[in-house]
Amino acid sequence: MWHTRRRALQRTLVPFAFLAPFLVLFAFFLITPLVYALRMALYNERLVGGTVFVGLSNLEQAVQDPSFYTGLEHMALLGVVQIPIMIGIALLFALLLDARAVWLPSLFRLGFFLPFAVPTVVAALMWGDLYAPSFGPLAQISRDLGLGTPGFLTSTWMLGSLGNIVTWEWTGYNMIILYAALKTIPPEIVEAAAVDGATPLQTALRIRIPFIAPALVLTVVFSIIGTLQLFNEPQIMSVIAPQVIGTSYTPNVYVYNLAFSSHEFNYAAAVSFVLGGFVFLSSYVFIFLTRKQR
Amino acid sequence: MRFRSVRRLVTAALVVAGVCVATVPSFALGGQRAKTAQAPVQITFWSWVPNIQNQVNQFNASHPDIQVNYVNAGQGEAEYQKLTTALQAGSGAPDVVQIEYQYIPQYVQLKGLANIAKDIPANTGKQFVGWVWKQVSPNKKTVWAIPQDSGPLGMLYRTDIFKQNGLAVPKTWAQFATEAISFHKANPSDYLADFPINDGGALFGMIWQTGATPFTVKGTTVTINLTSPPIMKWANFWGNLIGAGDIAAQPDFETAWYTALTNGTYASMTPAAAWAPVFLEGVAKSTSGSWGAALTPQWSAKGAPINGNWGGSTSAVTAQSKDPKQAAEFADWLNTNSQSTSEFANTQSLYPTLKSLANSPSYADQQIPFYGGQEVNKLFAKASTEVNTKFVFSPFQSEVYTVLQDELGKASLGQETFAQAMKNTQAQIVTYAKQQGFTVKT
Repeated sequence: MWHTRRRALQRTLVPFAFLAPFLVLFAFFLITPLVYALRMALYNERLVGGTVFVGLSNLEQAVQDPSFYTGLEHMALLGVVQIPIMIGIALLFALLLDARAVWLPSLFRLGFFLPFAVPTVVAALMWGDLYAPSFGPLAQISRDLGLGTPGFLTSTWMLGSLGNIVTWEWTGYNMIILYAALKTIPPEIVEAAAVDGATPLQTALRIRIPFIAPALVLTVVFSIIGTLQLFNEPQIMSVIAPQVIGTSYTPNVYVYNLAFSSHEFNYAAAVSFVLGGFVFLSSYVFIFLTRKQR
Repeated sequence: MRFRSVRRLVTAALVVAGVCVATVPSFALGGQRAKTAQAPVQITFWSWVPNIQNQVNQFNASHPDIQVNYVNAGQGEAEYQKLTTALQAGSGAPDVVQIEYQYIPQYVQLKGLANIAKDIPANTGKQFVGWVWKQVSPNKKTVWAIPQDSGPLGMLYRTDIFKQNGLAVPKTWAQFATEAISFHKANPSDYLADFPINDGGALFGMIWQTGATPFTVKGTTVTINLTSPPIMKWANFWGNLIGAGDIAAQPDFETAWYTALTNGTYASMTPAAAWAPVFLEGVAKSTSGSWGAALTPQWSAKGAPINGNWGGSTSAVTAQSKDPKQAAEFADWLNTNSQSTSEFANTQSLYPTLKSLANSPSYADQQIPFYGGQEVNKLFAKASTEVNTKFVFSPFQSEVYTVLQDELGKASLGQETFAQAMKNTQAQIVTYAKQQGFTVKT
């Protein structure tokens, strides 16, 4: 009796012992900062008068903060337009590669994927120069064609310009996920469809895409999370178009400015938590909606 | 047998996990051992001045009991973020740190700086230009930093373009406006100057030059007045010019801005500061000989001229320093030693704050070919004597910059008037100061 019990205990402990290296790092670099930030959000450290416990009032203020919602609106608008475009292109490329409809597929695969290997900061700097109204090549070509100077960095087009950078960066990444999923489709199913006289388009729409639906959901969820947390690109753009980006163009830009220009670390922590809540909520809603359809 | 192997596995896994944890404290031990008896005192120094390692080497060679370790922790914002984070965390700040004048009250308020009044020679303050010393030492009992360089305002302009367009160097802002309008009319793609909406330091230099005192600080009571008549006059003045499209409103220190200064799109750099002549020489090499320097246009044609300051740094000792005496000794040496400061002025292009150096013939009488042989340093020495001494920065200046840049950015896009932008800035800063626990007067 005692022996078996001890054995059972060992059985439960052994996996944890093996997981320990991961768990230690996970606790250090995720759980601890989260708890620390949550604790910070419950206090207010002021320049005069020191630190006081304020309970949930920072979180309350964050939930009602118009600057936070301006950023969130921008990102919602960006997400609704940009994510379908990006996933659509990624899916098209993945299908073309999988159907061997292009020559030198490995070269194309690498080519599509290459922008992902460029760090986002570098990509943003590079696009910033391409967009520049005075010396940018796009503006020069446009002027040479007599079309005037395009306003890539104006408040009207900034969101589109950012969306373009993000699409350029992430399409290849999503394509690789979708392509890998396409590779798992058993060839006999595709062959059977071909024998039954299905056209390549029909095979794609009726067999390949439904088969990789879980991977599609995954890429969209990743994109939703990434969009809501957009920071590098607008932060770099704020150097060349400060009047358009301002201090709260995206939620993360807002958090950054709260912490490092306003020294409101506690409130920044609270806004981060509210943002985290929105990220969780929108991912969950998307997963829930797509689950229901199936 | 089986029991044993399981136990061995558990042990192995725990050892792996343990190694990850154990490595952390073993590093920490190494650091402590270095600090044993008689070894030189270790001072960490953050600065972004190019080639400042030279001065550090000279100090280390002449001071065997102190070893300064230089770290470039990034320029401006990048360094302040690290400093703020280190102060917030309670450890990790250097002993001596480069801080611009505008952020001294802020870091004092954050309790990040040490008062070094007792650690430096009593006559230190007298060696510096009056208004500069007042920025680092608001009263005799406190010295928060040693001045390194400054940037009294002036104006740099293209002599050739001015000549072609029949423009005279403006003595007043009214004259500047008339010329800006006529110049832009004659050259629709060019501007007399750019108003740097993204640059809180430049904007506040200009506000300083109006003669206004937007802040007064007494203990925890701050008076905030960003809508006083001189400031509103300044805002409306630039707002009208920008609204009519006669003056550019683009961010400075950015590729498009450099291009415009080089190719003559901007006929002047207004505002410019005392560090700008050497800076511009590096940016616009191809235009050498066709630039001139002038004093800042005045708001009033009568009365004593008033000037402001834009930029310049200090060396401050942080509150975290374990050896503030040695840290202060280094900060003092760095900015008063004659060899160190003359190298700053002549090879690192910092505009001097030491009276003796700024007025020395070997510096002031230099005829600079880029400016057609003009004695530019002498001009800025005069500009420095005219800086308004009453002006002080707020203890939350980075917030002031953020709000002001945001509001003026909107105004430059026509979303609100410049007057409204100043009113909004005032309101937001008052709210912020109250939230931060200050007693606010307006």
